Amino acid sequence: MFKRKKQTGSPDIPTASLGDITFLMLIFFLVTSSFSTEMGLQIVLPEESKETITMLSKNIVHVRINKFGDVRVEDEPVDWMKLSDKAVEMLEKPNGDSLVFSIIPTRMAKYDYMIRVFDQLKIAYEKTQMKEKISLSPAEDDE
Amino acid sequence: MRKHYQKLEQGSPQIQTSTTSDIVFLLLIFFMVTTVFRQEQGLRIDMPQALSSKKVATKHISHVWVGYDGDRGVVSIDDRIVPIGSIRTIIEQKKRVDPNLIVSIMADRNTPYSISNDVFGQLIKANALHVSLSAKKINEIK
Repeated sequence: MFKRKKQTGSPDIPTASLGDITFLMLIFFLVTSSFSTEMGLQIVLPEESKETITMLSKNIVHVRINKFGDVRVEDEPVDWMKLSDKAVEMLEKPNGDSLVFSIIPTRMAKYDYMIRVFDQLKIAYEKTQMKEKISLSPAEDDE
Repeated sequence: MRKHYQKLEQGSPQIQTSTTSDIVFLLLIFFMVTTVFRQEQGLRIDMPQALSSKKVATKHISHVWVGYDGDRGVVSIDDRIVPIGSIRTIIEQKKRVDPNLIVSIMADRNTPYSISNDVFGQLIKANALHVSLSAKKINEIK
């Protein structure tokens, strides 16, 4: 009994692979940790200028959003999910490249509604490969 | 002749591997300490989603968090709650430091538009015109 204990007194644990294990862990965490990437919709706001820019009113497409999220393009109700198709259709008409989409949410409309309309218009411009002309107008009062 | 004998003796030299784990562990600690995860806490917001969301270069970015409390807007810049009226001066200062500043608006999806409208007004006054509206990238509308 005594003899046996002495024999197993200092067993050797193989440590050669320990480095490999920690290295694998390092690689694992390097790969899985996602550094916070920023995703967003870019927009260039209009400059604040004293002189007002005059624009042909027929070139402006008014896209109104009310507090329920209903979208109206030039007073015509449109399902927001189909807005990009509608916008593509408008852009592909002659003189479509001079159109400017003006998003006009009401004061109580949710930010999300504005984003999804903006998103749809962006998709339309992506599809037609035209230069983006979207403007965010000041909020209107709710009816 | 003697040389030859010596070579045979060193036939399979043992490299000490017991210290590699220490080295890798130190590396791990080093990276853990040096990586900066997130500088600002911001506000708790429910981000809107968009299909056409694009990656934004994080180099020149400065965040403006927009939330709401009832009808009142809550705006946080650099982890300080600031009144909407003072966004202009703060952004003007930032713009002076970095002329290529991009303002990233992190707004809650349920914020009334009138609040974000005021924020945009302040940014226009501060002449910070390059804006990114933060939105989670999705691949289809649900």
